[in-house]
Amino acid sequence: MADTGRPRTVSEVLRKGYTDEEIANVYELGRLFLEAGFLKKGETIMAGITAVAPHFSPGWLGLSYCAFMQRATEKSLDYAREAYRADPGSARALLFLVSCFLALNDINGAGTYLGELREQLESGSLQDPEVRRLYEAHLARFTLRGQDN
Amino acid sequence: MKFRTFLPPEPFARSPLLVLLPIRGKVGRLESLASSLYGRYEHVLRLSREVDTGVEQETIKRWSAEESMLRLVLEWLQFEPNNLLEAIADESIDEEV
Repeated sequence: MADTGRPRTVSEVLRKGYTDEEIANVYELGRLFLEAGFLKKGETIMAGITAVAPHFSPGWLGLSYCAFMQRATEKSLDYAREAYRADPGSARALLFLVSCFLALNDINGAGTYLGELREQLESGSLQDPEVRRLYEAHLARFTLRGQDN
Repeated sequence: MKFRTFLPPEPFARSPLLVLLPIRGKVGRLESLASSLYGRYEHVLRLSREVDTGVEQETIKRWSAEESMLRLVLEWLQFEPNNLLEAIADESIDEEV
């Protein structure tokens, strides 16, 4: 019998049958629900996406957004960490992490990830204006909090 | 000529984190994927109905999350997932008989 390598994880088994197109389009429906203000429906879709495709970073970001909006900041932070694990170096995941740390008043945590973002912005690898905009807003909040403490 | 005196706030100003969720697909394309998603829903529904005691809690949780997601997608596509639920329930009753 041929060696089949390591046994498949549950998530890989579950993902069997899902194409990247299916995952992206179902995620898009979840994003649409969130945009329209249907938080619970959006959360249901994002939870399903992360169950069948844990490697898909936007699904975790969606869950992080839902938790953040429900003021479950610790949970939101965990999901943002998962998003970052799924897509290391993702500026969007970094911004979610910074948002959570600022909401939790963890200045050191926020500073660490803001520094990482600054490196990306200075290297010119980040062109997204919305990322830059939120980075600048967070940097201002971070600076103010630093002065307060 | 009339000028608009009020401009609604841009999405970023309303919810900056929401704007950060990347656009990855098109909802309009879901319709062409409906049959495969329906098949997947049927499959996960059977798995969760035929679950035995040996299955880990984490696995059951994932099946449940997948089932809820697919149900919502199919409802959005105006399928009737409840009909399938009833059909599967009827089947299991027949098997027991």
